[in-house]
Amino acid sequence: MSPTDVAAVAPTEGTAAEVAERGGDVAKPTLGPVAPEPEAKAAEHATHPYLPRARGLLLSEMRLVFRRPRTYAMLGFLAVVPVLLGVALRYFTSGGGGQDGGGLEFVSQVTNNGLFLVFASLAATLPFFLPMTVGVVAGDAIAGEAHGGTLRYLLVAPAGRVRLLLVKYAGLVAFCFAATFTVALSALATGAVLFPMGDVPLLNGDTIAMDEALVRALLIAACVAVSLLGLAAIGLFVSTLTGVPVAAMATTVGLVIVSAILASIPQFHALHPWLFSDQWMSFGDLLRAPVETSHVVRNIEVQAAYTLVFGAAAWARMTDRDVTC
Amino acid sequence: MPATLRTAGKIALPLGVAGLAAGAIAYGPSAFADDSDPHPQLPTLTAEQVVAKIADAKTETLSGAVKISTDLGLPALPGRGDTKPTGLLSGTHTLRVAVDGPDRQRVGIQAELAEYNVVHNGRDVWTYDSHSNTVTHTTLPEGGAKAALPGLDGLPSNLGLAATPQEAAKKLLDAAGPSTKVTVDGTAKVAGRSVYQLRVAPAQPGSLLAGATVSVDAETGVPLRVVVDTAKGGAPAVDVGFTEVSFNAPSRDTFDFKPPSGAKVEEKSLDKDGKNTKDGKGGKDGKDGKDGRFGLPDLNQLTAGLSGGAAPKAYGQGWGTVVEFHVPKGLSTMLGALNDKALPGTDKDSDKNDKGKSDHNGVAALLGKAGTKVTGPWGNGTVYTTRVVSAMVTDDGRVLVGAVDAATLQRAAAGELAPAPGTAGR
Repeated sequence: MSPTDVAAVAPTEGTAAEVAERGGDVAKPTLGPVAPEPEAKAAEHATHPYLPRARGLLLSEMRLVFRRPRTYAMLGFLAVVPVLLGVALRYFTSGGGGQDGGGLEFVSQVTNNGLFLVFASLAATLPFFLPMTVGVVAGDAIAGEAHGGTLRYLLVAPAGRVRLLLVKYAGLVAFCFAATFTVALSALATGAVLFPMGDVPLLNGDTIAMDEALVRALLIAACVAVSLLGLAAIGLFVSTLTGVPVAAMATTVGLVIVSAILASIPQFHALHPWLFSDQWMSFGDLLRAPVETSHVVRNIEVQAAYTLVFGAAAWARMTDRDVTC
Repeated sequence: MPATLRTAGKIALPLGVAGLAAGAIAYGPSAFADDSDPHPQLPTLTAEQVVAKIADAKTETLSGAVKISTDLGLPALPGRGDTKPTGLLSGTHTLRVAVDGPDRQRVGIQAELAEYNVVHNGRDVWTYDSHSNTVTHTTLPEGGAKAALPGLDGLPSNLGLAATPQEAAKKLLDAAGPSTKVTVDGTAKVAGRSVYQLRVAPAQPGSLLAGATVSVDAETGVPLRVVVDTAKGGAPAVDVGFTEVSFNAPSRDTFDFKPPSGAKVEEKSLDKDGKNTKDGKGGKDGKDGKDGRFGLPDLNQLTAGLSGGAAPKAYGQGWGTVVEFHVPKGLSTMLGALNDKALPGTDKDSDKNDKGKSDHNGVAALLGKAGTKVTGPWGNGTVYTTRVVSAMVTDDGRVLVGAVDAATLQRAAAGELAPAPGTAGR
């Protein structure tokens, strides 16, 4: 088959594969709603040679991430965590939060102010639940396409490997924010229903007004979402190494656990500043007065570094990989 | 280009990026910091002049952030940083400090997702623990606020800790006697300000401490950083210094503390002798054992609990001081037996135990490891050594503690050290 033949054939094959994948269910060979999309894309492509193509790929990636039953299941699971936490604190705690608030942070404040459920829920889900869902989506990113047999079609279609990686990472970033804001919004709703809302005490005992506290909550949720980006890049890289999505997911989630174990062993303190999870709890600094930015900035630096390093590694692996399936 | 070469190049790229990122993270912040002049030119001063500068410091207003790192060789506890003042005994902590004269001070100890604040404003002293959402409010006696303050629970200085560089420097220089060499060791920058480096070191060997470096602000004479080194080297035992500092008066509302709504408030008041006159929670003795959360009672408590009334004795002087006290009969053998069994180590629940038990749990936890058996003409004993403190428990019920090596402790036990001047009565 000559190169021109490939170019001629590829779009139709790619479409079929895309359709199968976008449906979220490999068993179904075709699916209605997105079928017209490729034609529209092709028409756009004729007038704008570069940008719409990328946009089309990005849109279809977003659909792939956010139309999966699995994604809904994970987001639903994340949304339930604050509800459980809120109900437990409202109905099953005697004497309002216990003497020293138990093991979880912010819990002793939740019964006085529902907004603290947002902070408590983020603090409770950030160490494991959130990274776990990110690990699943990231691990699936490339390995899932390879496993489903759609990777080569994506690459034969004039998408390019670098652009595919960028689009996959963009999908992961979107998922990190979606997952975090699912927790935050669910916690906000639960907190508003179960507990009184009002002015919010900061960590040093000063009190700020409700609207300012909501702005800080928004910033904190953004901080938590950014905390997950390094892990997303690691997962993307792991995903390029294998054609078995479950292996990539398990490896990524395993790395989260390893990082948590290393962080809990004081003898490894020299290693701690280099862990991607080292500054995860820095979001609490946004609740101080004056706001302490050094750890938040440090967290962003660490996440950016992990994204660059593992993005480059994923690129090196991806552009050299023989895509056979 | 051959395929293998191309592949090698592609592997090199992520590694190169990793190296760059590591470099940027490790050295980046200091690259942006004001280190254009790491050793500023300052008029040459003698050690006496620098010490006089500290004594003459007129600064009454100050605010900034203090970073404390302690590595005393105590057992490092897994888990989150603790905000309680006792938590300062290990790890790295950030404090926000604001001072406006003798009547208004505020210290906030920051930990992950939590903070512990102490606010002193005239006759009111507030503490706020964000983790448990509890407030204590202590009313100081009229006119005698200053006298009563040292009796207050919860202030870091009452745990034998120096939470700010000024306190640390004051303790060091107060303790400096003929056994101490004080020299000026060049200049440096701390928190963006030019400082003189004052080196304080023991004159004789035998101490576990190598000495301390005090960084004194060239303009105001305020100590901005104190680093205490151990004789063994490695990380400093204590490193306390400002990371940012301003000598302008902090705004008044910094010291206006109102308990957040919903927080549990405990009311106390002190009379002129610093004793509690009433307890808000009827008989609940505020802090009893609470600070022993980590099984780390302070030395006064320990000696009071263990000596059974007999006054402790002290040998040597300055850096080499050794304190001796007696434990009730039988307890020392119990300690020996304890040493043979598994160590309670990091017993978090020691405050729930009865007093005596928590105390000797405290000794083991304080030292964090099994001791070594030693014998000499003075008898048999067990020596526990950390990076900064050695303790020896003898079988005849004596406990000797000091920032000295084991050999000096044994010399003290054998009576070879001269009693310390003026401290025998304590």
